[in-house]
Amino acid sequence: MNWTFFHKLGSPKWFYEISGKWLPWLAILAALLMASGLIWGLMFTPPDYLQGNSYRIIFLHVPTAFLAQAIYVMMACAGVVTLVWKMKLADMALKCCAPIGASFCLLALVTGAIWGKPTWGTWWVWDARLTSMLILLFLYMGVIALRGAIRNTNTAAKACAILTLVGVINIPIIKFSVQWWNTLHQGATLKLTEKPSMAPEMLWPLLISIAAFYLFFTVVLILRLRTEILDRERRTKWVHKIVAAGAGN
Amino acid sequence: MNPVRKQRLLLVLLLVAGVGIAVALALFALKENINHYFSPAQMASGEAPIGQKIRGGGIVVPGTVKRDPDSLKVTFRISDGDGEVEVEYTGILPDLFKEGQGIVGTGKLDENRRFVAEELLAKHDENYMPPEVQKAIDKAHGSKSGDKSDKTYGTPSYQQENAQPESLQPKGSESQPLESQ
Amino acid sequence: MYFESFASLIHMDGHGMYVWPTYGIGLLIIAYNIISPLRARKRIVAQIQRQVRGSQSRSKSFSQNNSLSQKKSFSHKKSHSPAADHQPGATDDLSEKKKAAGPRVKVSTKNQGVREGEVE
Repeated sequence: MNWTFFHKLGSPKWFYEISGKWLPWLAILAALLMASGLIWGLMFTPPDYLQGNSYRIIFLHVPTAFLAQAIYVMMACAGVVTLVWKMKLADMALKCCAPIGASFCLLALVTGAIWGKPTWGTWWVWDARLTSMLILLFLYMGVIALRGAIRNTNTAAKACAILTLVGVINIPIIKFSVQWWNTLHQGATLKLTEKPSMAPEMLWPLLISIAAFYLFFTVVLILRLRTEILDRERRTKWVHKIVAAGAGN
Repeated sequence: MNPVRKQRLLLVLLLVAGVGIAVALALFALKENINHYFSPAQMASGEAPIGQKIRGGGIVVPGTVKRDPDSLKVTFRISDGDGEVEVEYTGILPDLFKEGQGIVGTGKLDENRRFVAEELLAKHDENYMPPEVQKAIDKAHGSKSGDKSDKTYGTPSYQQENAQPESLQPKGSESQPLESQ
Repeated sequence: MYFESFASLIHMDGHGMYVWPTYGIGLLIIAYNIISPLRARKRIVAQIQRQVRGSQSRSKSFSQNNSLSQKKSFSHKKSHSPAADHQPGATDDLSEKKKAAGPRVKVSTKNQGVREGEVE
């Protein structure tokens, strides 16, 4: 197995240079997909036979819910790499993912609540799905708070990695909550092994929105990571060169 | 992988496994308290306690909805394919309350095994489709069975033979005409 | 477009008051995720620039002091002073910085320290 790529990835400088080249293209693609997915879904799809026009919230709710979970899983992987390999970049990634994941989790909860009112008849219910998503938000906030509370970088890295890993058990709970318990929240529309239970004219904008949000996450993560790298590597020559050059991008 | 890293990896995995087991045990222990949910069949057969606050739900049986002209009281029957129970609710019904659609309520079972709901919510499934597709399915279903008063009329997503008491989430996907019962 | 008129697009058969605020909040979160990292970058880059400038002036004044007080090795010292090949940040330590440029550097060291940048 060629570990060179993995070890190269550990170099903040290498990541900074590579990400700088990819960033503009990813950003353009993300913007295009986001605009088309959301506008298509909002204005160019038919209403749902049962829910009417309120279902259009799905184009925000589902992507952000998926991402809130996926980002946390990524944080957990970064946590493992931090603890086992002590890779600086992994800890930086964990730190930078947290606020993005938290904001998406919050958005998923809020859009869900607003969607719930006209459909279920309530803003909130303590069923397994909603409760576990709320716990996810608390976990995110906990990781962010812990980071801020610990002054020493290395200690903070270890502590945040451990907290993230302790909380990762919540992710399968979220995923399977609608199967294990009787929940008000319905089961999955997009399934891994079965046909999606959504008409194609609604499905396409949804898939595009999901892709858009994943790309958007990648772009803003890279933005945060690059700044974090500059911050942590501020004593190196290459950072001084970049900063002296006016730090264009 | 060098031995130090191997050891760290092992510790990390142990940590995650440990938390996992702890949570699993906790949830298992709490299961009885969390899942105070009873299906119509369970309520009808006496499995559900009387006078205690419980949750229950099912599909509104078409033709059974009776609204009291002087108050917000409404009664109807719900079914899960195995059993039926009468529900009474006083209040504004959710927008999505419809015959043939699902509801979930919190309330108490009275001596007559009638579920008096204090809170009533509409429950929908995971299917999304435009109205025209829904109408086409209805037509196909209607013409197949030839019986418009069929219980399953208007509910393409609820395939009665697959309905489970614990959940209103049938496994089938949409756009398939129902077998006539 | 599915909707026949702009008015019906806003109204959405009564659901508009749920859908549009939701998308508004969504836009806010998206905007936060773009603006926050950009502002953080500006802040950190400015911080590092100040720090670099601070230590450059420190090393300049340091070498000036040396050349004034040690006339014997005047030319020797001078060849060591230019900032170009001197890594300004590489051998810093807090006490040296504090001696040199006063309040300006104090601010940046307070933020730099071991407590890496805040999450915005």
